Amino acid sequence: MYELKKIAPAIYELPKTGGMKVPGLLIATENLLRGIEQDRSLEQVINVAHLPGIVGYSLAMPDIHWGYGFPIGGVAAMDAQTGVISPGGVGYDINCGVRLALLPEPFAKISEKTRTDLLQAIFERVPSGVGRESKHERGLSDRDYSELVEQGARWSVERGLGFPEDLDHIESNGCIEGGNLDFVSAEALERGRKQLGSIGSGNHFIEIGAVERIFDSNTAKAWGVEIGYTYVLIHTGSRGFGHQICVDTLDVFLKKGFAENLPDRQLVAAPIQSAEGKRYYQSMAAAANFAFNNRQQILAKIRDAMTVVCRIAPRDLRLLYDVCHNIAKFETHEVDGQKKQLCVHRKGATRAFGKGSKELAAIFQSTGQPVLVPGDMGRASHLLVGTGNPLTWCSCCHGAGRARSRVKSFDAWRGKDLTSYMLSQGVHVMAESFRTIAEEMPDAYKDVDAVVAAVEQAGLANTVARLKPCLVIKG
Amino acid sequence: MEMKRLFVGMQAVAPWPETFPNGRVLLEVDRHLTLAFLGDCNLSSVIDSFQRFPNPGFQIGLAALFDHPVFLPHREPKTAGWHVRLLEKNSQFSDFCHRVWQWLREIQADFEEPKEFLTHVTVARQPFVIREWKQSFQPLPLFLKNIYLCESLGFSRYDVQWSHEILSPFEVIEHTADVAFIIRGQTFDDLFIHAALALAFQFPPLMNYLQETVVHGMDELIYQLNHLIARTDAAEGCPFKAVSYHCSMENRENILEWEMIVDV
Repeated sequence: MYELKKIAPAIYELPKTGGMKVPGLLIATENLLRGIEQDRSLEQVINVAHLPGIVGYSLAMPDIHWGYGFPIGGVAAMDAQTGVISPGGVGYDINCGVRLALLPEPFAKISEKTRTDLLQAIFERVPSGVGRESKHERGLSDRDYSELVEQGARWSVERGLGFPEDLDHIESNGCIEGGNLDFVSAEALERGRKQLGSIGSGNHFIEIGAVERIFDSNTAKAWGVEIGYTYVLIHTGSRGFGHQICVDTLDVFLKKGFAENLPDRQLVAAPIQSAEGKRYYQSMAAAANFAFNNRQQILAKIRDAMTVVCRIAPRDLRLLYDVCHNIAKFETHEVDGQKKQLCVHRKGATRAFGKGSKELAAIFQSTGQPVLVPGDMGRASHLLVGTGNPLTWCSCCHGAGRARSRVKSFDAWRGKDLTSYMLSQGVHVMAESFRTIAEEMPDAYKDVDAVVAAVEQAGLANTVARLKPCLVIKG
Repeated sequence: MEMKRLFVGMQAVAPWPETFPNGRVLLEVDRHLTLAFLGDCNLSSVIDSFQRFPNPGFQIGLAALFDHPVFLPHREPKTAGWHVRLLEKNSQFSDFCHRVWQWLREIQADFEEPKEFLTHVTVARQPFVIREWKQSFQPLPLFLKNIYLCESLGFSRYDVQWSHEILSPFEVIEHTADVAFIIRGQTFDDLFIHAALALAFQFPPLMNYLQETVVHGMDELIYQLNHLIARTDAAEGCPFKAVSYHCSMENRENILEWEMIVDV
């Protein structure tokens, strides 16, 4: 169907045709490739290659699937001076991301009763699903908003919701510079006002389990990861605040005619240096900083729950890392032998800086950054270390990727006792609605092991540990 | 003569609750809005006449809302049902009903049009506790679809003897990561109400935030739907992030079909 040319292990080139400004590049094994070719995501890789100012390749990660304009699992870097910035290249859920925290205690030592109590305590503290936000609270004031979008996760830390050392363990120290509310709509503010510290719905979750296997003992040691340790994984983003910023921007960009001459109007993109492009970046940064605070506050609530139920000190639950996987960031990379500032769009893709990257905290400079790749709630999630591969602008996959639609998954599991089934698989799952669990059952996802194997073969990141979920709260 | 107890009704399609209060609950397939009750009739002669059944004037199912419970007859109720409030084409529907009744009078001299036409769908029959049905009621979206001539079989079961097919205002279609629908309408206003209905089938509280809207084009349609999502999200949360600017639209014999993709 597509003229894919294998150029290295698990790396395929999609040659430049028609109006493509660069070729496409797909990271996949042959097995994954067969599934990828079945949806329209490679067509979207081709479309992205038409965007002004794109450099290198229009990239696709092995968990790629069809998205809006850009595929999910797509990466595109634009020249910061001549290129464009596209909300479709970031996604509706700006700075959707994942956070991994570790408790240096064996999960196996936590009794069944304590596990159940812990899950319940977290479920009570962290709103998940639709409409479980803290309605009784007053929500964010305008002043809170303007401070947190500027300060990032530090805003929550300064309010006792975390520790100063957490900030070193968050991508970009938990703050995308330039965030402000100047061009954020009242509607966006209202949507997010009571949503800080909540999971939301869809594929968002909290997962607790055990470090099942260590692949890279040196890196694991450097990061304090040991086999059997208890881990907490949080997946959520900027909630309604970020969604509305994306919606508002698309509306402005389309009205300005920025979709003209593009193969898909959902790719609509403004020149980075234009007023509209700068406004979007500032608003996007505001949403990204909201998301960092969201995950920071959720972790604080989980620490509180663990303190009460497991009798640990809050600091014992140590943040290992927090990554964005829906973001556009200015980064300096080498292009044709010269350092150049690029605007790297990662939509359903994770930054994977390698050893020595100046942007990383000291602990990670000697290893490369942690790359967090959640799988499904039954099988596994993965902890990897970035290699800083220039071919993908130091980017990696972000998850397993869906194999089955929500509708098909819901129909397949309708009427069955899902919580009992998952318990029989060793996973205690809680959610506000049956529908969410049915849509998110493990067989709705690709095998994350296969996805991770592809990025490892391609040299984007190396596996450090495999994590086995045992307690799950679904959004 | 083959005498049958007949009525003309419209199929009611809704995201029905999984459970109901006590009562003899009708099967989903049998829940309908009765347009006219014919009583005991000679089926073969009536069936022949139905070849000339009045054209409803609408090709696509009508969006509506179950807005309150009804118990009929008012004195000593025997049925528990939900009132149907149409969200579109009220006058067209009313006109259609009157044409049907007039036509039925022409084909059957003793037909009496309803004295009080209460648009509702019967959900259960006695025995039931009115208080329980009132307490459990939640507004729900629905659409009225195929028109049919049915025979009452007793025990709240019906057998379709003749039907006039009407297109669904929306259909759920496959999408790997999110949710997608085919939305049908003859105008952009139709598309708006049918798209809102499609979303409300997955999240009924959305109907509380539906406002009368005039839509002139594709971008405005998406813009208005996203405002609806935003209003809902701000007020009580919403499972939808946004309707994407995916604009795949086809015109099939004057019916617009839009592929709506919603990020969840």
